Amino acid sequence: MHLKRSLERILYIEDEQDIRDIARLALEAIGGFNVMICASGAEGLSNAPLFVPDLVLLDVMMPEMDGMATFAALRNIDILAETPIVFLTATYQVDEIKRFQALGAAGIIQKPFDPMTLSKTISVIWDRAIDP
Amino acid sequence: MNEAEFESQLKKLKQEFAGNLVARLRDINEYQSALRLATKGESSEYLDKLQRAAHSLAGSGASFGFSVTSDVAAILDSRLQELQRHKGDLSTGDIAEIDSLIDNTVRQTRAELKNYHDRN
Repeated sequence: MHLKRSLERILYIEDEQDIRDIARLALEAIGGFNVMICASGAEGLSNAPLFVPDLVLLDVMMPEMDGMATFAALRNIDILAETPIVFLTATYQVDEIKRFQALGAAGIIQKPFDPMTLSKTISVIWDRAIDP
Repeated sequence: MNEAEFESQLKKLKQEFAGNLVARLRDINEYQSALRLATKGESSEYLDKLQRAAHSLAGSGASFGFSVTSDVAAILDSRLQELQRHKGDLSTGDIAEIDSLIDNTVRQTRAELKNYHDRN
């Protein structure tokens, strides 16, 4: 019998306070997820091995350590090497989107997101990532 | 959290976002003024600040019910990113185009903010 792992723990790395707040509300209240929020790539890297997320949501455009650099650093942490990582981006350039896909992102969510459907979107990405 | 608590929290976050919008527009206008006065070597700094501000507005507005704001800021963001990639000095035409896109962003965002306040 194949038991599918459920999505429970989400680490969200995002530098903008208002987006962090509305995402937390959406993910906790609607999705029922256990959410850890970090305000920078460096903070995310420090906390990720302790929190051990099932999935990481990662903003692309952040000061100092951007989403791409954070993605690469997360992949170098053994316990997170296979963890699905989903980019959140306000970019609308096809080349950029292709670059995220080529990196091995589990999904890409366009910003601005709808807080009412964010959890559902992530669940769909999760299902596809663990049972491709 | 029950549905009423969720709705209340969401409303509060939208109010906070709306309350910060005028300051964000003011920042954009300040970077715009600085860009107009910038020497050739300084323009990229203010172009970057403008682009980050536009990108932030584009990526957040609609999540808080300000979809027009997101749309017009995305147009500004896209053009600023093109100019950043060009990496050359901005021409008078470039500055005029940026001014026009900023004016449109500010005008439409203020209109959407007024609608929000009229409804709430």
